[in-house]
Amino acid sequence: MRTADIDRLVASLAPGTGPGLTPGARELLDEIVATSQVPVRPRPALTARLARLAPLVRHRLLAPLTVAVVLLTWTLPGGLGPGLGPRPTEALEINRSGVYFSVVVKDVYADKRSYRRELAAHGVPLSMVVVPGRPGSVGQVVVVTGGPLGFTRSGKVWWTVPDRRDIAPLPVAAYCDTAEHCPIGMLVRAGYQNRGTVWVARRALPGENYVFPTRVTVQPS
Amino acid sequence: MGPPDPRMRFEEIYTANYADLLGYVRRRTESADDAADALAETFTTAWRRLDDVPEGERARLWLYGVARRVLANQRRGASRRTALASRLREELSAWEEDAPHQDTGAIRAAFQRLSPDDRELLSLVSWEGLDSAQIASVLGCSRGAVRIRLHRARKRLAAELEAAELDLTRYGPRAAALVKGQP
Repeated sequence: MRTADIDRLVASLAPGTGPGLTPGARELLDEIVATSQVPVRPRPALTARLARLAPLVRHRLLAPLTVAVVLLTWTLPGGLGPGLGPRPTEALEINRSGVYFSVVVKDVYADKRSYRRELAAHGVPLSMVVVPGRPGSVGQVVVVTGGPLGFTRSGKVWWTVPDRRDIAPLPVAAYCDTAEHCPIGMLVRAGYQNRGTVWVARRALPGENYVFPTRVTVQPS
Repeated sequence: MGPPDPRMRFEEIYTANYADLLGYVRRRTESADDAADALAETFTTAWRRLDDVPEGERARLWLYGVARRVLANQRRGASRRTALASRLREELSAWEEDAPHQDTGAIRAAFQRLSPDDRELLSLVSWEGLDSAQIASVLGCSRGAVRIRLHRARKRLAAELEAAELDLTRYGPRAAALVKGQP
């Protein structure tokens, strides 16, 4: 059977295409423009953020001091006075606590160079990107050591889940699949070096391809 | 000259592609409600990501790609009824009641036995009239991969049609000859 004939048979099965651009379609256009704004990322209420941070204290891998610093800098950015609060950054909020840096992603859509520049400014020699992931992967972290960045669907990408003593996702990531607003980021051991790129999974926008690797599952503490 | 007004640009994209998108989602949904929801979500995504929508003909392919994922979410039960498009929903339901019902013959049954991926590929060719390069753009894969997958999908449909031993006279003598393997 020839290709064109197969295609003609399939074409004969085509259901109707609908009534076209009707008044209802015009109304939908107006509704979308009027009610659907460009998404903003509202800052969650302080109580909600505190409630979600509660699981941090149960995380066995984190020193209590690290938890306290993440909590403090997350809820009171810039509110601790000169020299004490986090440095003003655009894309990341980075603080050091003991042997760990806490890195909270403030702008999940910033480019790779911005992240790198801000990390380097704090003495963290890391390359990182934030990519869309499945709901169960949001907040998770992998290290990609090869392949084209951002093309897990069409190319081979070598990735590993880093040792949690070196890099760990923020503990609240375990609840990101259910929480409406969920901070993402990581804890990085001071002095950690890796030639790969750290990928952090964010929530995908409607219609957006998942880029973060599959099979990286959330392990609640 | 400054950047185009977002509303104006969206309206151009919407009016230029609405009929094609309606056809795309209507042919792949079971009900007028699902079609209206998919349309609303697809164009809402386009509005929110207006800067990502390519210019010209490629906008339609981009929208097909979004609609395809919206429909996949619908099938996974992840979508919820949107408050938008209530009037559109009524119009599509009314149109459906007036439209002649399709024959659900054996060719359709053979087509339905294909995998969803095979059906989508063949539909993009025969229903939307896309070529391999355009399909590659919709699916986010290479042209070569599309050509190979299309070839295999056509072969599988031909095999299904042969296995069904159909009465294809309604599709003309040419179709019947084809299924029997005659040139």
